[in-house]
Amino acid sequence: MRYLANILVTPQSKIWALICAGIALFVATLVGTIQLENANRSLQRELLQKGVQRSFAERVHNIQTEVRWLQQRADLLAVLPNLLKYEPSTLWVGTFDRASLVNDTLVDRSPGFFDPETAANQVILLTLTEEIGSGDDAVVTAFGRSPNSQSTNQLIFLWKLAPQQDMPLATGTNDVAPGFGIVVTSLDMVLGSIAQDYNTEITTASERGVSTLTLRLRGTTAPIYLNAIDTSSSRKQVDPLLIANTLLAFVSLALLVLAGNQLRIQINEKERLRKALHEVEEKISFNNRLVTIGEISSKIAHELNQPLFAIEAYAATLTRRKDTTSEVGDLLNKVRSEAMRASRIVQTVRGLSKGGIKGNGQDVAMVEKVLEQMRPLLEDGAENAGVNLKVTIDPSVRHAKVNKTCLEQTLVNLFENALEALQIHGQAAPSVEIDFVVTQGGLLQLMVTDNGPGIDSTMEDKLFDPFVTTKESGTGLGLSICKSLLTREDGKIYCANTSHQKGASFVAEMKIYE
Amino acid sequence: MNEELNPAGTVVLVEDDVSLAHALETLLRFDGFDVLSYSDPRLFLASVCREDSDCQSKPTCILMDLNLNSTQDGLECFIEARSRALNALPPFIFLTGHGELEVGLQAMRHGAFDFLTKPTKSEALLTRITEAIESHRSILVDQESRGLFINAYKNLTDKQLEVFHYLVEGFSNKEISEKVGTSTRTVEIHRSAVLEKMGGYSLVEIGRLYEKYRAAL
Repeated sequence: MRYLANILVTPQSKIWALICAGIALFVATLVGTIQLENANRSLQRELLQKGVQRSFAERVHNIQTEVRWLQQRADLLAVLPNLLKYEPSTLWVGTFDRASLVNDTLVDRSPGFFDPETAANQVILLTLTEEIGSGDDAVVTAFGRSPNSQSTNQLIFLWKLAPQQDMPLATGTNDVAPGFGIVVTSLDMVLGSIAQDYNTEITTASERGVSTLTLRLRGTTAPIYLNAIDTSSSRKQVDPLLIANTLLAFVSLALLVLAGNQLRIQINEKERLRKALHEVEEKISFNNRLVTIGEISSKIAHELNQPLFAIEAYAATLTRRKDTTSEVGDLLNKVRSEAMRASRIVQTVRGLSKGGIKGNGQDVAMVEKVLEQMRPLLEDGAENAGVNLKVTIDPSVRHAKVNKTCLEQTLVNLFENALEALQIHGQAAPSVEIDFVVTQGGLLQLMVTDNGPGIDSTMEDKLFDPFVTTKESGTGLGLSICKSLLTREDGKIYCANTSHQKGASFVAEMKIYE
Repeated sequence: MNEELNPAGTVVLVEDDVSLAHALETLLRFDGFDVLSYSDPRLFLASVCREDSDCQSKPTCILMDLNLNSTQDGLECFIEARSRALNALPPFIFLTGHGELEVGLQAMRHGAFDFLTKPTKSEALLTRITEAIESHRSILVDQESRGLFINAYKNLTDKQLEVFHYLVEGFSNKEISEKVGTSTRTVEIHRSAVLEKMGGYSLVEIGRLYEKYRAAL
């Protein structure tokens, strides 16, 4: 960009522009009449005599066809993705081997590559400013062909996405260089029809050899600005048709850029929508699974309570018999209390999945309060299991409000899991640590760490899936229910083996309500 | 009539889970209750909720599952039983699943005696059943005494009726004799006839029954 700015402001460039303009006028009037085809001569005549004419624009379209700029656009489109990858820091302009661009094998992009004196006269420097995007820079190339030359020369355009204020913008077309007069005016015509065809608004402005094109896709608010500097050497022959062609290429480039941006935006948008859709689908399927778990466990709870009630009634009948000894009676009462316990278990699973479905903000309590209520439960559990319990709560967390059910269930589940892990493996000095902190993202983080055997690494990924358990009597629902509750609270749950070899650490995060 | 044979009373069980029904039957029979078991609420309605059903005369409690896999659930069955406007519909105790607090309360609002969540501790179940049967028993007793009272009242002669009304209003024999215009002796004869006809209750008792049943007279 700086290099470009230099070109724009140096006195030489102004002189170049003036000389260029003079030569262009001369060539357009003198050489043009000799060399141009009949069509072009009549075009000029019509333009000069009748001013803006639709028929003129149509003839310019014929020239477009002649230079096959649509073909160029197709070429450009093929090259564009490769060029977009280059570092924007280097400004490079020049004639490049088309194949190297298409094949993405271009290596030399040093700033000194472009030399107006020595470069082929078809080189055009082009800058583009656009408000779409977020400061991405890119280089685009276009190909032009001189009717006098059998070889196809490449017109290299460099476009740069830059803030609008970086570029000089002119208004009006009065100040155009004489040599460009015809072509620019005719370009207006071309642009007019293109604007219709492509549903764009195109305005042009030129100042001191810098032509500015503004393209605004209808329905958008972000215009695309194109600056073009004709860097053709004034000492060399300037072919008006070439100018027309290059400007047409310029327009096609603009449209290409526009299309490219639209494409990019569409691709981004499509990707974004795809992701969003995927997330929604995930959530729906997750919710469905949860609802299914809820329904199934509800049904199971009901069905199990029937036989459990029958067990209770039969055992109670037996305890009431006179011939039941106290020893038998004790055992029968154990049967009864186990039946009741079984009933409570299914009921809890059902309650959990139900609670998960409602959840969300209806049931909010302070962490401190929840912990206060749960402390006896935790302490009893630890004492019965002979486990050393240490609860640490960061002062910042005390008054944080979270979903009560979510916190309770998560804490109970993780704590009981820790106790069971310790018991099964008969840890020597078993301990459980529970820590509450606030994450950087403002979530409540609950960490339950034990010094048990740790988690089998093959299980790590599956631990939070429903019906996965490492315990003989486990339902495999505890952690999956925790996960669903935490997900609802914008949080997550994960586990890791602690760094000092032994033990597992489960981390649960959930949303804080104020 | 059978009441003397089963002082504990009758439990009508409406439960479609056969195993559970058998378990409850066993428990209840062991504690001395007569048990009538129905697995279909329609059969229950057809046989129990009738004017001539024994349940109208024997202390009874109905233990019904609220979730019946039938065309009619427990609550609907109950509402229909009530709509039959029986003389002394026995009290209903419902068995509900967990989390059916709402429907249980709804049953209470419709006049159910209680609802218990399955599985219920047998002691609690038996206690509530006994209480329900007692409440039905007292209703039956009340109805019986009411019937007797009304019958006796209707058998009083005009003169006895006149004396009866003064008596329950608390007038002395002398005062009544002045009002009726007979001798105290005649009033005393009427008085003892009234008391005898009314089933040998004391005057105070009769006054209380009269207050209680006068609307039905």
